[in-house]
This record gives sequence, C-alpha cells and structure tokens, in this order.
Amino acid sequence: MADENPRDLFQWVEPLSLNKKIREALDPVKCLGEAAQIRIQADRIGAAARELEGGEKQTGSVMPALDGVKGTFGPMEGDYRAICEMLAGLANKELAANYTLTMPKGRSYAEAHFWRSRVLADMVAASSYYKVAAELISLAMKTLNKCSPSMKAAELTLLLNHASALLADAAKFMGTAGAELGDDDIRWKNLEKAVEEL
Amino acid sequence: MKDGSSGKGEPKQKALLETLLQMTLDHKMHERFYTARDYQWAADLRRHANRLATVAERLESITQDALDAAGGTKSVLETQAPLSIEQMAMINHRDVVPYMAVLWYGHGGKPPEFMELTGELTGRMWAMRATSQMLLEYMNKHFEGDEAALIIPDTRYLEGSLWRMRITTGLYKVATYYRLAAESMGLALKSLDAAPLEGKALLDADKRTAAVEMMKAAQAHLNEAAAHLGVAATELGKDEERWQHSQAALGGILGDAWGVHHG
Repeated sequence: MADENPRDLFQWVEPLSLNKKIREALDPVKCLGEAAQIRIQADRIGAAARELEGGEKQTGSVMPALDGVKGTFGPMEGDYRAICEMLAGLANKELAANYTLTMPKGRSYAEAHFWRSRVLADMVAASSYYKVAAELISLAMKTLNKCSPSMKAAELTLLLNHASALLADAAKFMGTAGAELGDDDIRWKNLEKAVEEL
Repeated sequence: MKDGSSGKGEPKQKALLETLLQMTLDHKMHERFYTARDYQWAADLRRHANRLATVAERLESITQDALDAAGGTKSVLETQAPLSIEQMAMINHRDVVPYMAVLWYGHGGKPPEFMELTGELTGRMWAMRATSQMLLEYMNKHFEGDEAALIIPDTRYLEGSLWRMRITTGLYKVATYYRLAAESMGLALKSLDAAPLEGKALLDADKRTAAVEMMKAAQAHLNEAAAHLGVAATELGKDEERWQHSQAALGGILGDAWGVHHG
C-alpha cells in the first residue's frame, strides 16, 4: 500500500524470532530427533511383525506393547497438528501482504524481502511436513486400533507391517523437514540483520 | 485373512476403490506431463534469473564518467535520441544478446523482452497458485475421507491404502512447493516493477543503481522459485512408481472390468 511505511511489513520479525514456541518448531534438532524416534518405533513394530510371522511370538504377547506405542503417538499427532496450524497461520498472514506490497527501490529492502521470503518459506514448508507426518501417524494409529488379540498371526502381521510402513514414511518427512531447516537459524539472523538496516 | 477371491466390499468401500482407480488411471498420465513441464519451467526460471544477472552486471560495470563522456553521435533514426550510439554500445552486452535477447534501443524505452518476461512470469505464477490451491483442497479431502476403510487384513487392500497415502502425502508436498514457487515469482515481479528499466533512465547514476539492485533482487527470487519448482517436480516424478503400485493393488481388487491392464 502506497500510504503505509514499507518497514511495517517486518514488524513481526522481532517478536517471532524471540518466540520460543515458533523457533522450537523450526529447530532442525527437534525435527531430526523426532524423525529418529518415529523410525525407531516403526522398526520395533516391523520387528514384532517378523517375529509373529516366524512364530517366535504369539498374538497375545504383541498386543500390550501396541498400547505403549499408541500412547506415544497420540500426543505427538496432536502436537504436530497444532504446530502445523500455528506455522501456517502465521506464514499465511504475512504472505497475504505480498499481493499488495510495493517493493521499495534499493538494496536494503531487497535484502530484507529476500530473507523474509526465505524464513516464511521455511515456515510454510515445515508446516506441510508436520501436517503429512500427523496424517501418516493418524492412519498408522487407526491401523493399530484394528489389531485384536482374536486375530490370526498372519492377519496381525499384515496390519503391523502396514503401520510400520506408514510410520517410516512419517519419519522420512520429519527427517526431510530437519534437513531443509538446517539453515533456518542463519536465515533468521540474516533477516534480523537486514531489518535492523532498514 | 481374506484371500484373493474375496468380494469387492461394501458399496461405500467399492465407491472409494473405484474413485481411487479412476484417479490412478487419469492422474498417472497427467503427472507424466507435469513432471517434465515443471522441470522445464524450473529451468526457464533459472535461465531468466541468469539473464537478469548478466544485464545487471553489465550495467554495474559502467562508470558515470565513462557514460557521460560517451554522449556523442546519436542515431539518425531517432528525432530526439536520449542515448548516443556509443552509450548504447556500453549498456548493451553485444556478446550475449544472441542468447538473452535484451537490447536497449536508441529511443530510450524499455526493451520489450522485459514485458515478455513479466508476462510469462505472471501467467505462470497464477497457474502455480491455482494448481497449488486445488491440489491442497483435494489432498485435504483425502486426509479427511474414510481413510481407514481400506485397513483390512488383506494384502491388496493394505497395499492400496499405503500407496494411496503415499500419493496423497507426496502431492501435498508438491502443492506446497508450487505455492512457494508462486510466492517467489510474485516477489520477482514486484522487484522488476521497482526497477527503472527505460534506456534513458540508465543514463542517471542513481536510477541505474536502482535498476541493477532490483534486477539482482528479482534474480534471487527467481532462483528460489526455480529451486522450489525443482523440488516439486522431483516429488511429482516419484509418483509414477506410486501410481503403478496403486494401480496393481486396486486392479487386484476390482478386476479387469476397469481395464486396469491398459492404463
């Protein structure tokens, strides 16, 4: 908007960069750590399926362990959905301004806009990874909920393998998020520096 | 466990399976086109970014003293030519014009190649935005649908479920990166809007500096857009395998009536 101060577009930078909840959601250590945690659980479920298939375990002995797995992933799914909405909400609000903004001439605003766009892109991409990981965890839990002690070992094996594959996919997306967010901290610092120079 | 001859499920489940199979057969073909198209557009974006960088670096290398000293003979084709023949030779990068086409004329206007560039970017940006929005809406419908309906202990159903989910999550990522590409293309356009690109403006040191800086800004956003679109194309390209698995699983349940072996 012509009448507005072009610096207003960067008012969110300082409060958000200091917001622990947001920075933690974009922390590659968190994403990579959770990818590892999800993958370990996926592999455990896969191992249980193989043991059932090989006759080393009985249906009844597998079921109690599944309750523990479900107890871990229920809160994780809820956490991911909340993070996804938080990041998407903030990024979408800022990106909506792109439609009407007038780019001021000069290197300082060009620099600030570039880092603004990279930080917001990180938020949008991370939000999508949390979203798909939550959906995959949700379907994996629905799969585990269909497991029953009355099932034959072969039936249970199929469901466990399915849940394991879905969780492995969720781990892959969280790992991708962690890898893509590897430079996020540098981007925030560059953005803060660019905004200071406006 | 259900065996290979088990029925085709309840009507609701059958509708779900038939919907998925129709998607599989149609969208597999659609995505073959779009994977190649997206790589092409990513390459185009990168090429445009390189053009802007080349032009900007040329203008950056010109000193004001040299430009002022070059204000001699004017083209006889112009009535009041703002640029001299020598000044045109300085701002135009003659060696690379055959490859990037941007050429300032003696009349002092904006080279039409910039209009071509912004027109192309505008059309593609809106196409990316619309496609992203449509895909995200469809993928959300998949996520919100009866996704557990295929979770029955039968290899074919579980394969169908797994590959359906992989297609959905993959396309969600594609849609997200389409959106990011569109945002970067939008900022490149805004940067070019702010660049004084008329030939006569380039005679002024401040305006020339602004043109250089805003072309470099546009270049950076276009490079970002190319990277986002490259990610989208790579993810979309992985769908070929997903569709093949999905088709085999769903075909195994629904049978030949759908002509799945010809898909």
